[in-house]
Amino acid sequence: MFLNSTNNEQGSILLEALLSTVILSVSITIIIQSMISSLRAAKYTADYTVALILADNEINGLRVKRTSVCGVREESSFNKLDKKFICLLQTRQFDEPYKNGIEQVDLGIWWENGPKRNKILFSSYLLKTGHKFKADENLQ
Amino acid sequence: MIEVLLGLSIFSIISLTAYSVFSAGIRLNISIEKQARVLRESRGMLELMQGEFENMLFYDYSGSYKGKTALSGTGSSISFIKGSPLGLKVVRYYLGPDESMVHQGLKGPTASKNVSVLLESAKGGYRDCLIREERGFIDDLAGNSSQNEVEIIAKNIKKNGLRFFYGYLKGRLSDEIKWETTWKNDYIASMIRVEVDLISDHDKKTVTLTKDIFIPTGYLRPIETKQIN
Repeated sequence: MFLNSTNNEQGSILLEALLSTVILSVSITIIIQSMISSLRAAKYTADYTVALILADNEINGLRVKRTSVCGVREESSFNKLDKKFICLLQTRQFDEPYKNGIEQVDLGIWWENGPKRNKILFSSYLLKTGHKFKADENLQ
Repeated sequence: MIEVLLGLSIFSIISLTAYSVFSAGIRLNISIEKQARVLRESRGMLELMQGEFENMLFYDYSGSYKGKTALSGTGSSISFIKGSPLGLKVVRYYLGPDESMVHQGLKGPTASKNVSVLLESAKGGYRDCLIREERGFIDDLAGNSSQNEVEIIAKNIKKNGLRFFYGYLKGRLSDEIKWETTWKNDYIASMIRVEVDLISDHDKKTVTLTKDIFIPTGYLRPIETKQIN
């Protein structure tokens, strides 16, 4: 009320410039953040593909031996470029219905992507070491 | 006048910032899309090979074609038999040069007229293609290659960037796997390892993927088992 109209107009230009700069910086920050998150998503997709292949390799490694040892808990890391991936393998007795011959194999692959720790988990079923089916025994 | 100049400079700063942000976004999108394409291609390629390897068949050639085996392979190629509704087929995977790309070394304008001088020209360059070749069983025995069906499975493979390894037992009493680069036995391998170096068009970065494929009908035996010559 005490300010005259000329002073009001001079201040408004500065205020408008400041306001537009703030709006611009906020919108650019949002855009850059969305870019960073899309980059993280792309990295996660690439890591997820590698983790799936590594998990498949581990399961195939068990399948080729055809049997596994019950109660084993192994933690291992992969060689070469896959050093950031950690594999955890755990075997335990499967309860039903063939509790004497089959055991459950749980496989997890962990990896870190920035501050976040990612994992994928699998379960499979294998014959116990040394187990023979009745049909095999009859053949002998 | 000052207001107009100030307005113009603010407008130009805003436009420049907006342009650089959006162009960076577009470049990022292109880069991610190229990376995703390489990964999609690699997964498709590995899954195709896994599906075919798991279903490969054994055939006993010893009676009439001594020296021939159902599965034969080296470090860079593999050949095996598979079943199809049209009968047995012999499938071969190997690397070949990417003929679709021509790399030329050009020397820029050195005189008043804009004349480019061709220094070298080579097909292929830093990339190879994964080629899948399929032929009928009879054609394979007769050595007839005119009916071969050839297709390119993947294009983003580094030159000589595909390696096959075949699993043997380390010893008779061991359950450890030893990887060798040749297979010429009269039985099918139980484990085949495929190692592929993928290269991205965008940043020429190489990613190595390793896939172990389990073949249910194969055998895991020590290397000293007699090989077919």
